[in-house]
Amino acid sequence: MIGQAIADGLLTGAIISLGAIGVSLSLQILRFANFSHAELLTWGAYLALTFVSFATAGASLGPFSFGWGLLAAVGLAAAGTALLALIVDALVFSRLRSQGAHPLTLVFASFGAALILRNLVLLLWGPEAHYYTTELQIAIEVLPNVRMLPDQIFVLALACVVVLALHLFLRFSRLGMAMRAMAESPALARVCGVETDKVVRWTWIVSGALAAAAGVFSGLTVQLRPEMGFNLLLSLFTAAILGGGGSLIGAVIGGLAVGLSESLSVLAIPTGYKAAVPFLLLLLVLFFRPQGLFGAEERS
Amino acid sequence: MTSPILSARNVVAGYAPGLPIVHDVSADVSPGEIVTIIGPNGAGKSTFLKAIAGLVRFEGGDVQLAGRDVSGLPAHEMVRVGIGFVPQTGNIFTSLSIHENLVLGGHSLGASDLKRGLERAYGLSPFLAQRRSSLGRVLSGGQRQMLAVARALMTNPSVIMLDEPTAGLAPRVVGEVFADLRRLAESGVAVLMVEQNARAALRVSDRGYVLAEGRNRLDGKAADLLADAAVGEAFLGGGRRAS
Repeated sequence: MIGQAIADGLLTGAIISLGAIGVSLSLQILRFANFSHAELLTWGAYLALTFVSFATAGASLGPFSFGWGLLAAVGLAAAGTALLALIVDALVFSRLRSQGAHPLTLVFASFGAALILRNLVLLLWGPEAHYYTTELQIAIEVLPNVRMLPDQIFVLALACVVVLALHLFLRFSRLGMAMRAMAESPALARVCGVETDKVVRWTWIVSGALAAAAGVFSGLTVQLRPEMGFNLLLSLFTAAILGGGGSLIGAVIGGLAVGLSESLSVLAIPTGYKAAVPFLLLLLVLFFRPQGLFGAEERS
Repeated sequence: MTSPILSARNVVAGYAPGLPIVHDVSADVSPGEIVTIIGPNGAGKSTFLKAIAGLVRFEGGDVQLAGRDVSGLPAHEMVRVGIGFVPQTGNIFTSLSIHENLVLGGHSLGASDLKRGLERAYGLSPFLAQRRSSLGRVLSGGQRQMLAVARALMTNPSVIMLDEPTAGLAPRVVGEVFADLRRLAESGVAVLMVEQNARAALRVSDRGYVLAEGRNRLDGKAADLLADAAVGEAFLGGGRRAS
């Protein structure tokens, strides 16, 4: 029972982590709480749905419910969502930044952008639930008394690969280093020759692509609905705040903590209260460790 | 004296549009020379350097670097044309390692120039070489200043500007920082700095400018400014002066 809850929590947590990384990047580099980030998850999921519907119905891969079409669609949706994030920035946020707007103004603007993005999804794809495939899957026993669907194992593995790739990118590439530098001090980064506009663009690209991955994974393991991103919004922010402003690893561990606490809570409290757990976690963090778990110290 | 490599004329600059802090400041610096800008708090010394570096609003004036007009270029362009800047606060990235700080200093360089720059920096400072994976935050004030200068030198600039390089440093370390700057100037780099620690700074400098209320007040040879009774009374505070 507890093993199953941990497996479910890790899966939800991995998806939340991918989204929370984007929230954390905008908090650190763009310096505002982007409430429209969750809508990028929705958009990523629906863009992938559109690409899948264009793809020829290929045979499903091995034990998975999907074929190559969906894998290609994930890539295309990541590119499309990154582009969407850049468009929203050009239309909304970059204009406000160039006017020297207060960070709170950007936060409110992001609420507006979120409403528009969410309702565009509703307009384009309708309110009903969608699925990538209708294939039925049989859960396999990965550990004694722990069952997971092949798709879920795939999502978990791919999320790990994505996080590892991003970690290596931020740690070792010169662009990744510039992103970390700008998170600490934009002025000093500029003095070093870092073109901050370019770093801002790449921040949107990376967070948009990760949001798309999170959206598709969420759609694959649950279903697609116009409010799917919005429903994850609180979890994303909790994970990012829990992780602290410091690091990518913080957002990932924050995401896993949120996922695990949701699924483990079901063992102790009625399922109906599950959605309140991230709220509680957020309150506890803000009370006792407002800088986040990784806010004070950082990895070397 | 050789002709100035950096020449700033009638610079007007500030943080908000139409509210300049620097009203009309001019300064020159030649290769191999240390020039110090002194003046009371709020005189616009730091803002003047930041205006040249492209960090604040450049509202008027003319900045020439080796005969090229570089007035109002954005900060990331300034480093490419050969002006290095070491800010006063937050002069290094504390969440990054020494090595990463230096790599960022060479952000505008290609891979082979970056490699050469790193070799040069590590060759000049065994300390940085030994501690290359240490995070910036564990360094002392003097070590941070050393790293900040090494970072700014990664691009081999012809001019290096420093905003209060000795602020908050222990007196013994202050001497070391100034000695390093002297060696740097002797290698042919033009050094332009702003200092609260005016007396000590003028002692290592060739020339100095005194600013007040965003305008040039006095300038001359550093030794003359040190000897000038009026400067001493108004800006050097007679004896020791807290920075």
